[in-house]
Amino acid sequence: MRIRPQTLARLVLVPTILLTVIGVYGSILWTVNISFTSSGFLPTGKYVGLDRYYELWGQARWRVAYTNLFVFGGLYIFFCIGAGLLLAIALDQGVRGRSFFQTIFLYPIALSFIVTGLAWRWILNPTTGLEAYVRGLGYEGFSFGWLSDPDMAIFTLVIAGVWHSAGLMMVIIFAGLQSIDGEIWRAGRVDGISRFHMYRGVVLPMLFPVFVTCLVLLAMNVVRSYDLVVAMTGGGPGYSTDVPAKYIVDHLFDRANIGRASAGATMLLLTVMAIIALSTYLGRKETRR
Amino acid sequence: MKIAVTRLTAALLGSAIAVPALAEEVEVVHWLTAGAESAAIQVLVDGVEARGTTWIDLATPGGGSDARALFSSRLAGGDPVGALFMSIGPEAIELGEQGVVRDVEGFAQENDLIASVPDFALDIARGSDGELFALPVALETQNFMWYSLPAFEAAGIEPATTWQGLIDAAPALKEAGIIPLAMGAQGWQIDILFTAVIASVAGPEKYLAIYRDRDADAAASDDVLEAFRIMRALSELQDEGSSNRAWNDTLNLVAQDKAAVQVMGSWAGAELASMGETYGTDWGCALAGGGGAIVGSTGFAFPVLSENEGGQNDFILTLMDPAVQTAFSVQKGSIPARTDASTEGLSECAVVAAESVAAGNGMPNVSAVLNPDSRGQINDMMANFWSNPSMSPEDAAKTFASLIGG
Amino acid sequence: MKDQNAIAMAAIYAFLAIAAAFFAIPLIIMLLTSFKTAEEVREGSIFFLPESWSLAAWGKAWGEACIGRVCEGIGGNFWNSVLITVLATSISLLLASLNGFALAQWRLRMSGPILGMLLIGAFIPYQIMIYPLVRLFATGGMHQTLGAIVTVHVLFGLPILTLIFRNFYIGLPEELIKAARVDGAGFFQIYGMIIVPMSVNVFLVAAILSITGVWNDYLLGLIFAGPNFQPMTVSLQNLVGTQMGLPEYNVNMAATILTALPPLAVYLLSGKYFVRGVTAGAVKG
Repeated sequence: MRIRPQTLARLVLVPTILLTVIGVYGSILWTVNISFTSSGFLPTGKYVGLDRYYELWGQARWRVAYTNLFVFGGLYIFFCIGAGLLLAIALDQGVRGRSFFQTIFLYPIALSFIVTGLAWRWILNPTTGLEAYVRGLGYEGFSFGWLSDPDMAIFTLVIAGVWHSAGLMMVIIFAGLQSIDGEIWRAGRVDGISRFHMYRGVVLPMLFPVFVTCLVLLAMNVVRSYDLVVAMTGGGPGYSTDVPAKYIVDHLFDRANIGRASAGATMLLLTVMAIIALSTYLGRKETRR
Repeated sequence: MKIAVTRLTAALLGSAIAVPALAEEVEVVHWLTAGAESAAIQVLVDGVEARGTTWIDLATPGGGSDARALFSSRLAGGDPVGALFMSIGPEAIELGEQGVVRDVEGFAQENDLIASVPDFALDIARGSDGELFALPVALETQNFMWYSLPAFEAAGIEPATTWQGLIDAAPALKEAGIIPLAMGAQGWQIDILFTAVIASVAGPEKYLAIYRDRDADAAASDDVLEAFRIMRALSELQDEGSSNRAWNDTLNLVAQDKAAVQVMGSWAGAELASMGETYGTDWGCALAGGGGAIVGSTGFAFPVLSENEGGQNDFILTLMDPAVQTAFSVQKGSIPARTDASTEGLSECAVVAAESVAAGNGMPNVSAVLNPDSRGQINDMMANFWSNPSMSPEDAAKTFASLIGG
Repeated sequence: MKDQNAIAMAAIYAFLAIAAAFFAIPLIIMLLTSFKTAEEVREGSIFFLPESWSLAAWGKAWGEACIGRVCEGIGGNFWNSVLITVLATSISLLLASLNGFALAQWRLRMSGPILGMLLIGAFIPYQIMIYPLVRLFATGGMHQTLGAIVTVHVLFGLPILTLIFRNFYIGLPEELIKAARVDGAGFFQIYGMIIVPMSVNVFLVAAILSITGVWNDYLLGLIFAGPNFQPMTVSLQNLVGTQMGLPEYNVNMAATILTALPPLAVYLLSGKYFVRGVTAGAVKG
């Protein structure tokens, strides 16, 4: 007997759907459930309603971590796309050695965030890195101690993150630029529109879907940002560079508080869902207009 | 090789076909890895293997969190390990009350293993019905000041062992290009410094009232405020690179005479020795700020097993063997948990700590009396205070009191 | 006009050169450090050239450095990483391309919601799924097996890879499939004879993303792989994270670069095709 192709098309989806429903959604349900219990080291606690959530939001450390998600996330996404865009436009001007430059901009994406964090921690460490070097050159007044300044340390994470991911953005945006019809450029030239205005007024709006892709890829890194923080600042100085993922993992194992870790995870989940819902809504509105 | 192939096949089949055990074995989770600690673990390995049990090493050099992750994932997987290294405290009791780790009281009594262990080191591992959920191998002092003699010499002053002495010595040290206080600004390291300060300022009784009894009045006393004032002054003595610096990197500053003093546990002394530095000419030690010794009880908890309990028993017998305990502490710079174990070969600093404990000035460390979560919240707050000059000692003392009392 | 252009081009080259320096310096520093002696690292600045170039750190990192009580370097787990990466990547690519094809070209009623369900899963930090997944594998008797580590990698890799394939396939003309079906070709025939050959570039992009993702993973390997299949990154973190003894930064850096070499090589060797694949529409809105 021959199975209809449509049926086969459905069947090939089954393993993925099963895997996702059980692995991802099952795990989420389990986590949400645990967030209502008093569980400590082991997930065996009694139900305590919303207590863990009150505890969570009562903690300064969680509030800092939650805020950092937006501070780090916003800056990381902005600068990754910004740097990617500038590099892509520069490479689009018919420069020589394009693939050489592309390779250099792109290679950090092959490195893990752990490696990225270690390398940048070294460079930015005031006593062994850049600051000491520049002072050694004779500029005694030079100071670049962001890594040990609680107000500035979060920006060191942004620097390292942008270093890691901007290259991929460059490639994606560059691909978008290449796909734009030469006719459009010619038409622009005929009308005497400057290159700058062409980019701003015509080309970039056409690349809107490309930027959405960039945004999605980067946002995934932000929500999962754990390795980079651990390798680079360990969440410090103090807990000034803590992020939700680190808070959750710390409490899961080190602090032996699965209940509150799960409450944090649930909050993170709700946040992600809210952002997805909002962007879907805005996206619809955009297309309707 | 054959076993490896069998395991590979079993793994590829995705099933849990147990590879038949040839002899008793014990799987040990610990994070005593390089350097002196590794030598101490080797003492246990040799002892266990001399009893005919195979030691399967599950070291997590990343430290306690990795070890807990490994331990609880093995537990959740229904395949618990044989022994879990820990700083004994409420964690052991929680695991015990959940029925996850063995009550070793009976086994220990039968084999006469714990008669000479100080009560406090056992009490911190006892459940509500007197069960014993962990056994100590060594007592570790955590409030030593390790000082570089050449560093003080370079500044032309005597080594300072009091807080005020160190603060006063700072200008001279800085003048000589020396970092007065070597600090690794991570939560736990800051907390080690803070408990050292508070133990010396408030004394053992108040220390116990605060941490063990969680007495809100004691936690809100002027001594605590004074301790935070000292902490603020000390925080100005560190160098710029302290942020998130591992303790061994930090100790290296003392070893190289770039920094004058580090406050760290007894394990640092063993490291200094293994770095080839000589006690008395290169470095010295003192109980920090002149307080009593704050001791942690280092030992193991033993998960309830369905097989290989013989291997676990061999491990316990080895762990509590007085000769093994002495050899372990000689390597690690600690004190044997059994007071009837020989003290021969212990380091000069360990003897200082042992005397303090014997004189009744010993105090349990924070992880012995506070659960990981309370400890963690205090660590967070401490780390924030240390790195954030805009937080006043008054505010910090208030927050501290509410964390203790709450 | 011409002068103005020349100035503009010079500015562009200057900008690119500065950017290239920013991107290259960390790797250069890591390389320089790995060729120094431990002594030199502690004494000198990280920006200096090694006084005498030494390969000792590399040999030590690969075969002699002590991790815990075992002094065999990080080389031993190289093949574990290879095994995990090859298995996870091939399974993910097969599933993701089939999924993408099914979702893009067969007008399935639920294709939108299914894709949405997959993608939301990609935004969940996987740290929060660790504990329940461990219990799940334990129930199935798979805990800490090769099967478990490969499964979690496939699970976490699928959403984005499926999206990549689906976005490419949706751009293919429907007539192509229709014509093939008129000729009597079945689902797998169309997939094998038409779709796969047309999407070599996309496979390449997806493979590169998957290889780097799986190879660079640390946390999942630590929890799910168990001692028998421990990947290289776990040994690296264990080596670098050791809190005892004098830190040997040169060895750490050599070990770091050794661990990073395979994905780096993949990028350097296939970077051109990667860019080409992305341009062909592998990653787009």
